[in-house]
Amino acid sequence: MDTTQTIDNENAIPDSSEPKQDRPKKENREAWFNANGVAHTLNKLGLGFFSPFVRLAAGDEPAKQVREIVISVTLPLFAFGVFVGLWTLASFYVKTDSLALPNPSQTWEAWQGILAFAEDEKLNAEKFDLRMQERIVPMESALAQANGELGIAQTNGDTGAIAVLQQKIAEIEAQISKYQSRKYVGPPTFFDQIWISLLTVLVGFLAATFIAVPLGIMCGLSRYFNIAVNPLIQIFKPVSPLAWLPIVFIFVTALYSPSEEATITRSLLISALTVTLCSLWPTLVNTSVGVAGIDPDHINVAKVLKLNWWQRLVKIVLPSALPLMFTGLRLSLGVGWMVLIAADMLAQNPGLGKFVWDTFQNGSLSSMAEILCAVFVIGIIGFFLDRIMLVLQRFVSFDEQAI
Amino acid sequence: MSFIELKNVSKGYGSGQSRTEVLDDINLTVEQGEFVAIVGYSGSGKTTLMSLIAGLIEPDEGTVKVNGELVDGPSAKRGLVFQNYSLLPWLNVESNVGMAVDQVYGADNRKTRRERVHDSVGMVNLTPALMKKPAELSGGMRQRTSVARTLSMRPDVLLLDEPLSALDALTRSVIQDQILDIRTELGQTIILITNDVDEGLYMADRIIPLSIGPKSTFGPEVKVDIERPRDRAGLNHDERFKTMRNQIIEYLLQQKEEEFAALGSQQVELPDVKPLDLTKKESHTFGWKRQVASLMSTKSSQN
Repeated sequence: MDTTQTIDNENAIPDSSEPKQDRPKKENREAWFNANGVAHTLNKLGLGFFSPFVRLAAGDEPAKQVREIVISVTLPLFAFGVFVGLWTLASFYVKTDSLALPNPSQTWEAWQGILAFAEDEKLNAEKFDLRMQERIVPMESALAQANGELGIAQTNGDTGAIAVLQQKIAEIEAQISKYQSRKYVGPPTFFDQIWISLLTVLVGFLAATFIAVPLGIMCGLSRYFNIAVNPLIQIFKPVSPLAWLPIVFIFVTALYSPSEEATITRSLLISALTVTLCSLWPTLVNTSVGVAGIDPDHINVAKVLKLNWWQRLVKIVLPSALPLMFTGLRLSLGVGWMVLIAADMLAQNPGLGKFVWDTFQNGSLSSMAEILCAVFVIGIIGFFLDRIMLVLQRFVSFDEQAI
Repeated sequence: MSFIELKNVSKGYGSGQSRTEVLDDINLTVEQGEFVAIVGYSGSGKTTLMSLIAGLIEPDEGTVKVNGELVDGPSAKRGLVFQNYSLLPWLNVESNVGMAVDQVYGADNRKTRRERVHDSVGMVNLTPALMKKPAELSGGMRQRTSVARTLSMRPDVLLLDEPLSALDALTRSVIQDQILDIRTELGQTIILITNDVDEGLYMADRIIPLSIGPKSTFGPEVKVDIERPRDRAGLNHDERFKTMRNQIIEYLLQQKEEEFAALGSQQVELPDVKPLDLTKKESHTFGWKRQVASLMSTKSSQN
C-alpha cells in the first residue's frame, strides 16, 4: 500500500469514535502497515472474521478490538458447546439393535482411524513403488550392458549381432516400461474420495456454466426466445437429481466409453452430469434476469456512442449482468455440491457419497462415526467452495454490496 | 441558415387510448456558437426535446436539422450529457471516457487516444480521480466525468439535459463556471435544459420557457443581453436581470395558474378537521396513550 492509498482510506472511513488525542498513535501504525487497507481486503476476501485481529496488531483502539474478538470467538464457541452437549445427550438414547449414534469422542476416534488408514495406504503405495524400483534396477544395468555391446557390434559392422542385440534391448525396454506403469491398487482412501468428489463437482459445474450462461444471455436478450424456452425451464427446474440419474445413465452408457485409465470414468461422468442438470438453473435464471434488467441509461449511452450489437453485448450488457451472473454461479455450486452426494451414492462414483453409502452398508461399530466425519467434511468443503465463489462474486461486482 | 433547426416538431408516446402528446408544434433555431437555455416544469417534455435533437428518438411530425442535415440517429457530433450521469459503474473515470474516445477516434493510435482522454478529464479538473470508479466519486465528480466523456468526442453541439439538477448549490455553481470556461475555449453551440431560471440567466444567451404538458410548446423567449463574463453576485442587483427573471417566472406561474383553472372542476375537497387544542390538559399526552384515550372516548360516545 502506498501512502496516498493510506490517506484516501483514512478520509473515506472517518472513525468518529476515535478521540483526537490519538493522532500520534495513528502515525505510529501508518509507519508499520495500513490496518484499514488490510482489514478492507480481508473483508473483501470473505475473511472479515480476522480484521479485528489485524486492527489490534496495528494498535487501532485495542479495547474495541479485544471486545470484538471476544464476541466473535466466545459466541460461536458457546453455540458449538451447546451443540456437542446435545449430541452427547442424544448418543445415550439413539440406539437400534445393530447401530447407535456415536458420541463426539467416538467420532473423533473414527476420524483418527480414517487418517491412520490413509497414512497406511500411502506407506503401502510407497513400498510398492520401491519394490518395482528394485526390479527395474537390474534391468536397467542389463540394458546399459546391451547398449554397450550394441555399440561395439556397430563399430565392428557385425550385422547379425546388431539384430540380436536390438531385439534384446527392445525386450528389456518393454519390460521396464511394464513395471514402471504398474501402479499400486489399494482401496481408495477418504482423501482419494474427496478428490474424486471435487473433480466430479468441478466437471458438473463447468458443464452447467457452459450451458447456462449462453442460454441465460439469449433468454435475457430476446423476449421471443425467453417466451419459447421458459416453460421448459420451469418444468425441469424442480426435478430431483434422483429422477435425472437414470436418464443421464442411459445417455452416458450409450455415448461414452472411456479407456480404463481415464480420469473421467463413466460413473464420474454420470454423477457430474446429474450435478449439471440440477445446478444449471440458478445460473440460467440469474444470467437472464441480469441481462434483461440492464439499466436503460446504459442502453442510451450505447446508442449515443453508436456501439454495434457485438460491442453492446461485450462492453455494456455482459459487464452489467456479471454480478447477478456470479450470484447465480455461487448458488449453482452450492446446489451442485449438495446434489453430488446423492448422485455419487446412486452412480457408484467413488466419491464422498459412495463413502457414506458403503460405510452405512458395512454396518460395523465405527460406521456411524465415520459417516458423521464425512458429514462434517462435506459441510466444511461446501463452506469453502461457497467462500471461493463469494470472493469471485465480490471481485466482479461493482457496487461492493455483495453479502 | 441556422445551425440547429426544429420545424413544427410534434412527439407523443403510446397509442390508442393511452396516447399522450408530449411536444406540439415546436419551432427552434439556434445559431452556431449560441448558448440557449430551455426552462420548464418537470414533465413538460424537456428530455423528449433533447432526445429528439440528439437523435435518440424520431419526431412524429416535423423535422430536426443540425448543420443543414436531417437528424436520423445519434452522432458523436451532438454530445449529450445525461441528467443522471449514466456512467458505467464497472469502469473507472479513465475507461468511461476512454470508451467514447475509442469509439470516435478508433483509428488513432493508443497514445493519442490516451492523451485525448487525459485532456478531457483535465478540462473538468478530475485528473486526480482518473483511476476511481463512479461509486467512489461524489455526485458533482460523476457529472464532471460525464461532461468529460461528452467533451472527449469533440462535439459541435453540447446538449445538456438538466446536468446539474441533482447537485448541491455550491457544486452547481462550480460546474456552471467550468462549462462556461470550456465554452470560451472550444466555442461549441450549447443547449441547456434546466428547471432553474437563475441558472439559465447566468449561463445562456437566450432563454426559452416551455409550457406545461401535455402538448407543450415554447413560450415567449427572452434574450439575455448581459455582457460576459457575468458576475454571479452582482447579477442579483442588475435591473435587466431582475426584469428578465420576472418575465420568465411570470410566464411559468401563469402556466401553472392556467393548469389549475383547467383542473378546477376536479378540485379535491379537504376534510373538515379541527386542530387539537393544546391548552387543554388531557391533550398533552401524545402517542399511544392519546390514541387509547381517543378510542375510549369514541366508544363511550357510541354508548
